[in-house]
Formats: sequence, structure tokens, C-alpha cells
Amino acid sequence: MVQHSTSRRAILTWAGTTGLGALVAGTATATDRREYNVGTADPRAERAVRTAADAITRELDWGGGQKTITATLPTRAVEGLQTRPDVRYVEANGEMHALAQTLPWGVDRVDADVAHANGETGGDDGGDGGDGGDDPPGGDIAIIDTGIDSDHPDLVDNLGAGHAVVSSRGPYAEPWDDDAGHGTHCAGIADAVDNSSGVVGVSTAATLHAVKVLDKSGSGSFSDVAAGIQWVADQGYDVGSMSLGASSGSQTVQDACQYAVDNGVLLVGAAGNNGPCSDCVGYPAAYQTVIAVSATDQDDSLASYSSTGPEVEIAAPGTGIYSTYAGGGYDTLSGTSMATPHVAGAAAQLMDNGDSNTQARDQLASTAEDIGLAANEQGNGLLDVAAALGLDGGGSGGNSAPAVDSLGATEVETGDGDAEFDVTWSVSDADGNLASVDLTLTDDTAGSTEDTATVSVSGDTASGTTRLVATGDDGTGNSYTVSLTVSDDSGATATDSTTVTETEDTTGGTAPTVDSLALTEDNGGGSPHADFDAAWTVGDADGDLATVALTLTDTADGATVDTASLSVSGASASGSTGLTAKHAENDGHTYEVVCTVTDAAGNTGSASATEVEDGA
Amino acid sequence: MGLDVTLDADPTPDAVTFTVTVANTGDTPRTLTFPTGQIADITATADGDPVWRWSDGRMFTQAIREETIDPGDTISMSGTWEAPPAGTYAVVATVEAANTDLATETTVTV
Repeated sequence: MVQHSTSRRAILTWAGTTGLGALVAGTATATDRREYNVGTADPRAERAVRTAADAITRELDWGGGQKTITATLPTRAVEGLQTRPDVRYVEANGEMHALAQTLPWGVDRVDADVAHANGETGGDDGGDGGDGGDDPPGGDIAIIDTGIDSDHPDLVDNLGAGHAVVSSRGPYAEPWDDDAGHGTHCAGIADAVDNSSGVVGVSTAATLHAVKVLDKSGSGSFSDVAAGIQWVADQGYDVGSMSLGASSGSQTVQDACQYAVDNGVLLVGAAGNNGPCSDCVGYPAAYQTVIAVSATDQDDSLASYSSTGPEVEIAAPGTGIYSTYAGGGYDTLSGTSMATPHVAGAAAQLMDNGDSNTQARDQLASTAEDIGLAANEQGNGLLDVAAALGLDGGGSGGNSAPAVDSLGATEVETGDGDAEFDVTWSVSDADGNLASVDLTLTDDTAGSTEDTATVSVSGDTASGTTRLVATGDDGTGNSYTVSLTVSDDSGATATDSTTVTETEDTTGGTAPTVDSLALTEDNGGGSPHADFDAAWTVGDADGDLATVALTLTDTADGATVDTASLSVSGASASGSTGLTAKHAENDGHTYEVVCTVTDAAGNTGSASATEVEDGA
Repeated sequence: MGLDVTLDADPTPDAVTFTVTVANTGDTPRTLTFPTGQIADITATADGDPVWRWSDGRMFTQAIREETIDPGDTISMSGTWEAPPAGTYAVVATVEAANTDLATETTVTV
């Protein structure tokens, strides 16, 4: 049917703006006119299309005289165009369905993808935020809107309880089902599932709750909105996302917002689409209890439609946002409605991590990225999810995690009784914010930590050799694990470990002994004290003698009256050590000396001897 | 310009339901861009003073909404004025699209 381009197919594969393959899935209808893409080869063909068209939607210029004109054409005209030699093809324009998961630009821009890469999903650790109704761990996001498509494949795993203040019109599975599309779009921005298709949200595993307060046409009364907010507060949810507004306030809605915040809910609201305008933030966003969100374009400029004013607290992507839509599909929408759930998804991650509503609000504000807009346009700046979670190195484009490039450990042969290892390591970080290397030596046999070391590092790469010692721990054949954790300035980490075996056992394996010990009175010198000489000899078969300790005790009352400690070495040692019981000359008590010998491996031996202090 | 707006009033003893309809009377599709979910507004005045406005007390989605009306097609919205005081009112309907200035007026007696 496309006579002049036999190499082309009626269904063309396109590269979408995200670079992902997409398939045209147009459906023919019986109407006598519809939208077509006409490939033209020269200006005469272009004129023919314009003449035949009811309307021209777009012209794409491929260069070399070739264009594609998207035009609304009567069926009659299509048949005529297809026969022209200067028309390359005529195809029905259709919806593009992405075949792989798309990272929407807004999620990318606020660095939510960095959060995901660091395991921050807003959900339970296992990512099973869908088990709602059982107060699961993980953040709870209420989408106070037109409802949520209860069967959307990119949302259903995250859906929790829903509530219909206004019921959907039509044959829907749930009264809170989305009969408009808007609420489903916002839900996907905040928390679309991270899977192999569709889109990914700012959070990906928080629990979504549909609170339907707006009808099919996208409007709802103050009272309905207030009732929805109150329901969210009564459920104890973390975040209420309100992509709705009015140009005038409502005491009822204001009261509901105060009630929700007092009950721990963080409320986020759309600044409004009245722009360009100043001091025109709508309600409920303008209330002090609500984070007012303005909208930005992809180039970080303020969206032309975005309302501005002193109440604006933070900016977020709002223009050309691709997200889930009612009916299981996807659509691209623009508005401060789209900016709002970006912030809601981020808040859920913070509150999932333990922040209160006020802590999360402060954190979002204090970590927002200054994009150079006026204060009444950007508030504190553009939402930065990674920075809010402490994952950002401060550089643009988010933090990259460090890596352990090599790790090895070798036993050090020494003559002492310790197990010593030299650990050789190298680490790197693509964005150059290395902070520290932490090393831990664990005895696999005992399971105990034997030694730790921390080395400060910086820059892109670092390497070193660090000695770790298991003191007095020289058992033959024991295995030790050396683990290394490298951290960067943003708190991102990487860990590696290696196992090494201590084979050294030539020393320290035998216990020392006290070979002789004698205690004798020293009655010379006229001292008023009871003086003794302790004569000792010690030995150690493996030659790592370390210390001799002597303790003199009065056995009459068990009191220690003198001590001495001496360093010794080698396989044997001897000496005579003076010990004194003060002011006890000839008191008739029996004194005992205990001699304890210790080797370098911590092995000990001891002996004791007694003498009566009687002047004889 | 090919777009025509009409305002119908359906008074009952307890309420008046208004319907605003925008029709494409031309021969090319027309796209209207609305800044919010609000397509139109309806205001009743008595002796020049506004007595009732449909959008008062309502909130709307804050996404840009585009509606394409094919030739011969219409879009419409309805709003109900509950329990209006008896009287005769001048009622104005305005289409809230950013790229048009469409409005119409009628008189209704309750």
C-alpha cells in the first residue's frame, strides 16, 4: 500500500526521545479522516500534503529535502498521496508504547535514580510495598486527586488502600478508580514500580493510596477535598500529595491541612498554573502547612504556566512529564500537578527512613539545588532527592559510589606470638570524593574481631599496605578474614573481603615455666621493714619469654604488700628481686611470693614460695 | 473563528443546572488549551452584583489540559446552582481556555 517505498514497512520502529525502541501501535478507525505521517521527498509533495490536509500538526525536516508532515487528512486524500512518486510513505499516526522501562526526565533530573541505585526506594527492604493494609514497613503516599487506576501494571504492586470521597463514574473495579487520568499520572510520578516496562517513579516501592476527591472532569468541592485530607491523616499515612488547587482559599481545607500536619502527615501542594504571574500561589499550596511546589522545564527554567510567590518552597520538574495514565497506558502531561508528586515521592523516602513530617520538610528544603531562579520562583531550589537522602557528593549529576579495585593479605613471618598480616589494597571513586578505608581482621575460628584500622583517603584513587595484628593469636592453620569498606564523602560505600591463613607457628606455641623460686628474709641494714629477696629462674622452650611478675602477700590478712615486674627474653632467665613489707620487721607473719612468667604469645606459668618473717 | 459557545439553563424548583457547550462550527479541528481542569465558569449576577459562581468552593487539577474539537463536535461541562434565591439573574459563561476569549450570556428566572 506504500507504493513508492517498498523497502519500508507499514509499521516503523522509531527511536523515542529517551532512546528506547518504541512501536507504533495505531489502530485504524472507520472515520473518514484522521492523523497521518506523510514522508515527503520534495517541496511539491509538501504542497500536496498541505493542500489536502485539514490541519498540520508537525513538520519534521530530515535534511536533503526529505520531511515528515503530520497532518489530518481525509481518507480520499491519503489514497491520492500514496500514488505520488514524491511521497515516500503514508502511515497512520499512532500512540507510541515504550517496550522497555523509561527513566522520565524529571525522575532523572532530581537524582531519584541515584537514590534507587543506593537502595532507597521508599519501600520495605524487600521492595514489597504492595502488601498494604497491614501497615507494612515503607512510606505511604496518599494521592489526593481523581483516583488511581486500580489495575495499572506499573502501579498495581504498590497500591494499598483507597478511599472514595467522590466515586468514579463508570464500571470500575473500585470506587476510587481513576475516571479522569490525572491522579494515575501523579501516582506514577511519585511511585511507579521499578520493573522492566513503563516508567519508574521518584519512589518505587512506597505504598500508594488513592484518595478520590476530584470527579471525572477534574474538579471537587472544598468539602470533598477536606474530607480526603482528613481521611489521610486518620490512616496515619506519611505524605499527602495534592495536585489540585483553587485561586481562593477555604477555611475548611485549611483546617483539614492543619489537622493532617498535626497528625504527622507531610502535605505537598501544586503552586498552580496561573502563570506567568507573581504572588499568585493557589490554595491549598499557599497554606503554611503545605509545601508549595512550582514547576520547571527540562532546561531548569521556570515553567511559563507556573504560579509564583513567597509561599513557593521548592521547585520540581513539571513540563512534558511522561507517566502512567488511566486505562493501563501512559501519557505526557505538564503542570504544577506534575511537579508536586516528585516532591511527594521524595518525602516518602525520607519518612520511610524515620524522618517526621517536619524533619522531612526541612531536609527537602535545605538540600534543594539552587538553579538560579528567583526566590519566589524556586523557593529553596530544585528538588534533589539524592542530596536529601545524603547520597549526593555535591557535584552535578549525583554521586558515584566508590569501588574496591584490589584487596590482598599476606602473612608476616615474625618471631613473636602474634598473627600478623600485611593487607594490600587499592580503591577508586569515579567522581573523586574518596573519604576513608576501613579494614577489619576477623578470626574465622573464634568469630571475633582481632584488629581494625581506618585510613583516610581522598581523590580518585588510593592504595596502601596496612598491617593488621591478631595479638597473641598464633594458632596453626587458623583462617582470618580481612574485610575492607571504602566510603566516599556522600556516604556511599563498597566492600570486599579476602581470607588468609596463619601458618606461622614456630614460636609461641609452648608455655613458659617457673623453674625455681625461693623467698628469703634479708635481715641486714637495720631497716624497720620486712625485706625479702625472691630468687627465680624461668624458661620457655620456644624462646619467647616476655615478663616476670612477682607479688608478695602477707598471709595473715591476704594483703598484697609489694609487687614487681621485669622484662625478660629468650629461652631462660633468672634473677633476684627485692620485695618489702613496710614496717613489718620481725612481725612473725608468713609471707608468700607468687611468680608469674608470661611469653610473647600470652602463655603463662607460675609458682609460689613462702617465708616466715621472724628475723631468722 | 469557528468556535461557538452556548449556555443552557435548566431551572427546577430546587436548583438550576447550567450547561456550557463549545461547538466547532468551522471545518478544521480546533485545540483549546486549559491551564487547569476547569473548562468553563458560570457566574450569576443580580443587578450587576455576583450572586453565585460555579468555581467558588471548587478545586481543580493543575495539569495543562488540551481538548481538540473536531469540526461538528462539541465539548461541554455542567454546573448546578443548588437552592438559588428566587429572582431573575443575568448568567455569564466564560470558556477558561488560554488561547480564546469565548463567553456567552443568558437570563434565568428562578
